Amino acid sequence: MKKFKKKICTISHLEKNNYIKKWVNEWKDEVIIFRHNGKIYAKSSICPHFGGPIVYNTEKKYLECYWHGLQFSAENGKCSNQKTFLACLDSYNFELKNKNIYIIKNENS
Amino acid sequence: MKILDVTYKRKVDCSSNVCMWNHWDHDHINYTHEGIYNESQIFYEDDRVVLFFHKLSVPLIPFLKVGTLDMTALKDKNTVVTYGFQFGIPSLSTAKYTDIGKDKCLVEVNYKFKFTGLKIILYPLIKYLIPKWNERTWQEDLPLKLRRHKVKKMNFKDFVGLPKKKKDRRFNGKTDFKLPISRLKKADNKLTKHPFYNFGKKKKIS
Repeated sequence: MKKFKKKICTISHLEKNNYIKKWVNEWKDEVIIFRHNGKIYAKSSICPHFGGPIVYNTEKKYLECYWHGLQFSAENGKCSNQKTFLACLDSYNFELKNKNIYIIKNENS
Repeated sequence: MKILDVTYKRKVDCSSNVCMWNHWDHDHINYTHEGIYNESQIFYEDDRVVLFFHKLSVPLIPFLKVGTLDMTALKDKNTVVTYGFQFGIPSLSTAKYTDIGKDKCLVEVNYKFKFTGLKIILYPLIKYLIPKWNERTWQEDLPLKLRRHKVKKMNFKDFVGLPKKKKDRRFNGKTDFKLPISRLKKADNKLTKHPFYNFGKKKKIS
């Protein structure tokens, strides 16, 4: 299956910021790249509640939505402060190459 | 008696339904407008009416906090009215959202304040504050409207998210707006924690 690959940022860019966000028009999504407990993660940053912007809170170590305060696990993307809210943040596979971070997705997904 | 009557007109690149959604999405007040609404709680709400208690920070005078009871009502499908009582002065604000083209909306907001007796001395203060208030709330709400419009055009579904397949992430129809807007659960919701929330509300009045 053909794969899309898109550069989101460089590792040094990520190191200088808490997180990097980028609209990826090819997949019609907004992606957030962040480092959590020393590990890099890539997820959709569109809150499944009403579509708000997700950011990574480095002090509290969770993802949160600016619009309504929903909190999501940095690891599995599950909502942690609304027990009945079942939708999760989608995760992306990514690749590190030549100090760049690329996200990867199957073309048909 | 003196009446202050001010209207602001602006255009925005989204549908009137997105603007109406933003106006009725009360949950965002405690987050997006956190700097001006120090505390917001709903006493009562139904499909057309909301009674709020707000504690407001006055623009440019942040140490000055004003408690106010506001009643917001849906006047018609494009107009929202809010009756308030800031500084003990009765007010009426009217927000009208009109589609003026594909994905373009005219927003008209009118504020009226009625000053009587000694409260007339507050007229210049309110006249000075209203444009600051209007500009700040506009700027804070603008990214919400534009983003909401963008995700709805990608076929976003509330409480679900974007479609899983990229080919389904497009929508050319009219953005829907239907009251009541689905809410987060009461136990985790700052707005609806007040013990009087919807006290005595019946689903249907016979």
